[in-house]
Amino acid sequence: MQNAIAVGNRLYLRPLTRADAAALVPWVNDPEVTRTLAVGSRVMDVRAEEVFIEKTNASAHAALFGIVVRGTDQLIGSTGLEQIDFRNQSASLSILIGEKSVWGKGYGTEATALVVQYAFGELHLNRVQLHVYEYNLRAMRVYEKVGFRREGALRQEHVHDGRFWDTVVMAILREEWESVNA
Amino acid sequence: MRNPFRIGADIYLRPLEPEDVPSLTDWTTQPAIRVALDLFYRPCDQSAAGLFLERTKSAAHDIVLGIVAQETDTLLGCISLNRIDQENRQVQLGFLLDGQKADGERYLSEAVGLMKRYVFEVLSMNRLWLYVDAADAQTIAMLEQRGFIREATLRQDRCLDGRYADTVVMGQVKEKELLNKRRQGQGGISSEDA
Repeated sequence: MQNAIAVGNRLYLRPLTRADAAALVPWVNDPEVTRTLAVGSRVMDVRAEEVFIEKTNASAHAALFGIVVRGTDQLIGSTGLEQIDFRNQSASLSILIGEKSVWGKGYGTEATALVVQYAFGELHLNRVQLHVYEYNLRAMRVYEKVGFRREGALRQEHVHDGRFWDTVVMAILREEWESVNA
Repeated sequence: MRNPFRIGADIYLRPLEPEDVPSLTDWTTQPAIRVALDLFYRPCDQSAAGLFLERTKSAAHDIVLGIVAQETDTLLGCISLNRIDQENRQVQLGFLLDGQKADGERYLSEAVGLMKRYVFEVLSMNRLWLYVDAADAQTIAMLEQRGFIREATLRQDRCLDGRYADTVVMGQVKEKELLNKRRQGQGGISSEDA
């Protein structure tokens, strides 16, 4: 493991660096991957990705991690927290599993749980929330498995494939996390 | 009326000017506004309010207008559009109202109606949304009268007076709005928004 920040059974999280940009760029331009992400229609190149990584790493209100398979040290995606608000003790979680060959293996669940653990354990936050598009049912099941609860749906909040879609808001509170991880 | 941007029955909306800064500063000290906006947990003096005004005027994704009583030309509060999202055709609504002025809620409702028309009919947006303190039943009722629907309740979303408080997300979409108007047999503008 290299520079691990959080370690799970099969995965670990480590900081992303400029050197990871080239690996991330094909994922953040791939429509199959980005259909579930709030990245909009921007085209990303390596330089833009490097700038994004550096800016995020320099921010006190964000934490960005690479998702890495233990044993092989293969980078399979990225995750992290945005809009970290220490006064209100909340943050928004995002996750991307870009390596398609590992889809369906439960890595998303493990990585999400590691980030939530980081949010409550290391940052001492009270609330972690996320947005998920209504057509991304698989992700919703993952988040529910980790303990997130549905709080509502923002109607027609997102444009994809030429139409509007709802965005579901989900969140987990510290007390909920502690009740299942005591 | 001075420099009106949108005109209603009893109020009009106009750009804020440097001479409005003392009013803006005063509003930030009012308890109800502090609760509603979650912005003024730090002291805000006139230079900070002036800076806010300047930044807002040059921001591509924000519009802030003063709410003014036509009869007296008194500034009652302000109303804003933030995070104008062209790609997803949506925008966030915000407002604050001077708690010392009479009839504020009625004027605010009219201001929301004017802004709705601007958002859907001029900016051609599809969705207008906002955050509201979940305990603010009066504002929630006013927004429901204006066609907004509770879409989500963000649990323990912010800290307020030493405890966690919930926030409601309210929104309305153009398709629904136009459908309502058709049902009412009206054209592009509903009477509630006039």
